[in-house]
Amino acid sequence: MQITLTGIIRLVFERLHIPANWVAPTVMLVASVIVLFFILFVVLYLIYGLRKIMGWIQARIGPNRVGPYGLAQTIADALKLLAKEDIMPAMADKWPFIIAPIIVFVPAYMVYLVIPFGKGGSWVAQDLSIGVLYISAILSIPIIGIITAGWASNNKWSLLGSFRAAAQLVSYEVPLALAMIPPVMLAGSMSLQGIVHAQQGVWFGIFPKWFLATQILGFAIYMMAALAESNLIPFDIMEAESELVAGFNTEYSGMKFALFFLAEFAGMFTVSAIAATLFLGGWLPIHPALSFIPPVFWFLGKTLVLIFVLMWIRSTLPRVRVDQLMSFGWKVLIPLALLNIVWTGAVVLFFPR
Amino acid sequence: MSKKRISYIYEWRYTVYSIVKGLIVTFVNLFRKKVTLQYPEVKWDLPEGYRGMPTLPVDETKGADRCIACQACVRACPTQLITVDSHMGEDKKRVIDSFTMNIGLCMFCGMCEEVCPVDAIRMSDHYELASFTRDELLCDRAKLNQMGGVWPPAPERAAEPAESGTD
Repeated sequence: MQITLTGIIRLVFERLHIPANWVAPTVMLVASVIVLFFILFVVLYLIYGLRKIMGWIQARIGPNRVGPYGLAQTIADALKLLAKEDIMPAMADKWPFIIAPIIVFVPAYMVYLVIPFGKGGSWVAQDLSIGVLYISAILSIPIIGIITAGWASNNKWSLLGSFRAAAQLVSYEVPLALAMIPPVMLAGSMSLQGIVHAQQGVWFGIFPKWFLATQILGFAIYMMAALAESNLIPFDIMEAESELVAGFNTEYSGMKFALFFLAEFAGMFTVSAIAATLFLGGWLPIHPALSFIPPVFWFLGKTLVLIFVLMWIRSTLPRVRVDQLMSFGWKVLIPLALLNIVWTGAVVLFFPR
Repeated sequence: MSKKRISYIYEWRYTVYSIVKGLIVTFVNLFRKKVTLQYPEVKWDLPEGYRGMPTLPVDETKGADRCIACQACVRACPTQLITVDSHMGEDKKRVIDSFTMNIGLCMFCGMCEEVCPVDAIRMSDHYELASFTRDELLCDRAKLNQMGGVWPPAPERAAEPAESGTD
């Protein structure tokens, strides 16, 4: 019998004579706390990784003072953030100002509901049958929080930043969603586990049957839109330091700022995880012969490679201009994404599975 | 019209080419030797002719520094941070009462070193001169002797042993 969270909690509840209908809510609570701690851990070490990689690329060493190899650096930074005074501008709108970071963070957290970390039901919190739709719906909520933050701060930089963010996120969501459609067409399923299962097998005994094979263009579009969605540097006009101080989070400090930061890096992990699932076969090994490595490691490995690519691009390219950003999104990415859907239709028509 | 279309395609090709080239450059840099110096633990190899704090090295043949209290450095110093008090000795040579440098005002121009007729002042290798009070920056003769070490300074001892005086 496989050991699952539900099984353990049911066993404990039976011993303690707690009614069985309390099991399901408790499982959800425990699972969500596990996911929350996973996000915190991932974000801490993504920040560390980003600083290290950017340092190496600039021929520096990066953080190496706190703990061995500087591994405790981001923990110290997080503790500092939590200990800081939580300042609210006198003229700010109080409640929107407080709620905004929560609106931004919660969707970034909610996406983890459907991400399949491994094979089977115990590695995904809830394998929704409309997983892809759910993701694209959830990923569009943070914009509301960002606009709220900019508006409530009562600060021109914040407002400009949040307007830019709204324009950017709304326009880049379209290519992102359009790039997520071809894997759904190829798999015939919107469930992320279903999409992963559809990528099983190899061609000619070597090449994995990942959707990347026919979706190189779709993958490129997805990664570009993902860069914009997680506002990394070539597309970080919403918090361009040299132009807008810090964009929508100019007035935020302490815990509220930490929530924005957390959401940003959690989003980076999320978009990479979704890309790994949709195009790179999720938790499937490269070749069935390598399936002795647990699926979780395959999934995390692919995700980390994609995150490295995002960081690599981030530390290479300069920031684009606002008009360049918009024209690139609407005039290049969206037509290409539509073309890619037509091409995928041809693939589905002429090479049925 | 056709020319414009060609340039458009060219522009796209060039964009993609330059992005890929930039990515390759940064990827190569990932594995380059790091240039960071872990400062307090590892220190910079000072180049020859480095101008640190001006000092009065001790000439061992004489048992003291070579200063003859001629006041040349006092006049040469742009920020007038050197004060030399002296009186006439019995052998018609000046005897130094006090020799003070206010290092806090020093701009490390090396004029005092250049103008000194007996090469008594030498720009040393000391550059960590920060202190908590202004008084600590006021260096008397004993401190300048101690900071200066032995005359002539080590790298010159082999290269130009007998040189003294100015050009």
